[in-house]
Amino acid sequence: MKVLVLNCGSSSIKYKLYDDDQQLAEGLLEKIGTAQAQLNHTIAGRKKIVSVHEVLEHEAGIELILKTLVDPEKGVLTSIEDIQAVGHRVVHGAESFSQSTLITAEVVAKIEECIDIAPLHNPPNLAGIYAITNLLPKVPQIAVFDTAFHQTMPDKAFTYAIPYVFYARNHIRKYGFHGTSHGFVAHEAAAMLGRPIDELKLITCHLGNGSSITAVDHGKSVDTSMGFTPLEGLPMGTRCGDIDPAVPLYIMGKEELNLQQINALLNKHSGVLGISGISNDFRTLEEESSKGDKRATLALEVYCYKLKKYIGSYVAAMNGADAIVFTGGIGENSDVVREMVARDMEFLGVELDADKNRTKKRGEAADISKSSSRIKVLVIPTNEELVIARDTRRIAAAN
Amino acid sequence: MEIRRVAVFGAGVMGAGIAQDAAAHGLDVVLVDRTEDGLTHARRSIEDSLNLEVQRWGITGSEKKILLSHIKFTLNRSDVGSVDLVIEAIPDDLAAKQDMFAELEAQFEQRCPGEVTYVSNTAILPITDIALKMVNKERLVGMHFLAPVPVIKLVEMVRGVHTSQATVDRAKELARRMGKTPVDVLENPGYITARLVVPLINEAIMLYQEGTASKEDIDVAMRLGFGFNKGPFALADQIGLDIVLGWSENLFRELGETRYRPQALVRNLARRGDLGVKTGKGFYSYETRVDNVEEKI
Repeated sequence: MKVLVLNCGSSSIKYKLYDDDQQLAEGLLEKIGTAQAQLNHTIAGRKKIVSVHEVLEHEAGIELILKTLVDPEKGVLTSIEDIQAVGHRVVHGAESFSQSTLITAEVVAKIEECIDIAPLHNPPNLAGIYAITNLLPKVPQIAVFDTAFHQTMPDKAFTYAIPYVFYARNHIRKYGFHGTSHGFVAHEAAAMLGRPIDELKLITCHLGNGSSITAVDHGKSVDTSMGFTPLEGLPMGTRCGDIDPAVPLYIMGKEELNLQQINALLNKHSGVLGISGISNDFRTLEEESSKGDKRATLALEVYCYKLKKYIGSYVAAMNGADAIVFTGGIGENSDVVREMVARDMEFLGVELDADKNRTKKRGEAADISKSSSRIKVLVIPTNEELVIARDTRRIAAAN
Repeated sequence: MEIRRVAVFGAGVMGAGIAQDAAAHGLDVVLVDRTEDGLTHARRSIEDSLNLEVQRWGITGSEKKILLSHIKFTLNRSDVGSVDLVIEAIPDDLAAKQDMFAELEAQFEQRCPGEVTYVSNTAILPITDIALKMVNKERLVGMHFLAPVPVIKLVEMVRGVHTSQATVDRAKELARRMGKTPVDVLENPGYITARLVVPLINEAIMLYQEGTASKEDIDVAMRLGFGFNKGPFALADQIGLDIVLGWSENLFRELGETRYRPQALVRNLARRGDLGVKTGKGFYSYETRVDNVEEKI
């Protein structure tokens, strides 16, 4: 079955076209809303094609992508009707969705309701759904939610210690994100360990520009570091992660900042960028740190220390763990971060094999712990689009 | 049709502020002025304002660049191309505004007949009078933005005798697109804002000159006593003392009541060029803080 996977952001659309599990084409359309929107389109196994277009809104963007996919030269399809289903990444499904869902008018209405708590993410996701509804009205669409995997968290994990009325009335609670990725690597880890997922206790670390960590107990998310928004938890590229909630209040008073300014301060000017003053890119930080830059080193230390503490707390929460899984751009590619996190944890039963960690090949899954390590340390490349394609295929076939 | 592109004529404080705020909300803007100096000054003031916002952690350096890329600065009216709305933001001089709209109409009705909404950013003048030399008078509406435009979330929607509902609706769409709350007013002198604020500032100056209280204490009393964001002196400095003077002259002339009469103190400060926040000095002195975002240490 040929499935188109769409990930619509505020000014960009990522897409991948699959035939079953085989990827036929992928691309990224950026700068939507301008006359200089750039389309990077790649057919599997061939060179990237870059072109510039006027694309003023998401529907025009998706129309361009569909045209490209059937183009005699750049395309891989003979007709647009070859697309049998479309899968959408939807960031926030709140408590309405605990799994991927066939998109109906009611489902759209519920995703619209979630705009209130995901004002940045859900509107562009919806724009993609509206566009496909207009352009390919007969094709089934499936929504795959970032929050769905974490809906299994118990209330003691997702409840904030603020007046309960805010949960009851405003749905303020921990939701968690990156669920598609955490779920995928948890299953891959079970396959690598050769054991059924429902006997395993796993800690999955999705480390990218946004970072989160999840306790996966018997295949279910029981706790995760991101919260009501993706701002909670680990420090990230530019986000602060956990801090004393009094700090923003104090800064607002001291510096006379308004809501928009404090929001941008915590989301865009903080994290490892804020500490280092150099970059949110871990490769740059590692390089500067190796040259002796103290604040770059501090940024890496703060990040890894926080991650280590989260791992410890999730081992305690699950009463043990079988494996720690690293994924995401940093988790998959930074042996420095993995080593800083996983060393000196022998007490917990984590024994990192420093050589295996350093020599791990890019793009490959690997066990980087010693054979004696009670808790295995795994690196597994994530593939959220593949999960979306598979869920889409399964649900489209059943309907 | 969605509003995507606007032209702003007049690159003074208001024109530059409107251009910056429209671009910040994703619109493409052409900012037109008659002099190279005017454009240079506008570009600098927009950049300064954005730099300050970066220093205040409100936006990032790359967001600043994206915003600036949405504004085209030009001396040449014919560079404007097709736009959805034309906003005039030259000083409040009736004859100049009348001529400008006659010229703009001639230009845009030839290029995209019937499609453009004309907006005057007047703070005080009647829209019907501004439209005098226009053919399509129903397509002119007043939008009174207040300075600093990116900060103040209000716009007064001013209807003239001929202004059509469609025109008002279109301008309100722009207001909402720019994150503003529109309020409807008829074109009576001073609308809501200038009409109410001029007597307040005048009375505050009289209190001060009588020796009843200091400027600072008058401002504190109004802030804490009545929940004002700024007291009357700080407010006058923010509006600009040249603007306050212009408003009082106009209101005094139009309405004839002494409570609007321009105050000598405002006139003297304005004559010296101490116009308030925008010149760094007015009733108070202002320094800009620029120490927040560090360079790499």
